[in-house]
Amino acid sequence: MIRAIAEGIALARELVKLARSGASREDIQARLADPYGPARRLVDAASATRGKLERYIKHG
Amino acid sequence: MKHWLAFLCLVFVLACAFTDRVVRRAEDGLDLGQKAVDTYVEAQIAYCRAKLDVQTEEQRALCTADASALLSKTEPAVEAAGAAVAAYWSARSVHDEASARRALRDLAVAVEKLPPEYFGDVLAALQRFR
Repeated sequence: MIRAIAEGIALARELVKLARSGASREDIQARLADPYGPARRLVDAASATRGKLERYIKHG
Repeated sequence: MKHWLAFLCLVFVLACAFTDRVVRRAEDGLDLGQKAVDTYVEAQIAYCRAKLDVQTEEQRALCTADASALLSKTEPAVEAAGAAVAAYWSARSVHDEASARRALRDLAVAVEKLPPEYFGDVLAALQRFR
């Protein structure tokens, strides 16, 4: 019983944290309109870092 | 009966809103983690540039070996996480909730391979979905 209450409190805290996380309705709608956008930006950032390192190794 | 159905609909809508926010938080964590990795790589490049005994390609590769090792670890996981994020929003945009749940689980599995010192926020956001 105590464990269930503790888990409930932890979940409520998580919900409050998520509600404050700045993910607005517009933000979510933008993702539903362009589902691949965030993934593309993420993968581009990762490959830019790799490119930076490879350029340094090759050309100094 | 009507009230019961309304309650079930409300629970369903709230559950979708909850997972949307979890994925948004995970995206932010992935962005932050990737920026931290980029900062580390830049710092290592700057350190190797400042060293006088690092002149050849082999020496530069050796000097930045730690950065290369870190990227070998993070790059595939970030790509897998990106694919899962795309799959999640695609599924949600066509109201395919079963595929969205699967994508969320895939995302949680993909981020498990990321180093917690850079991607701690993502791991915390997806802890419940592993």
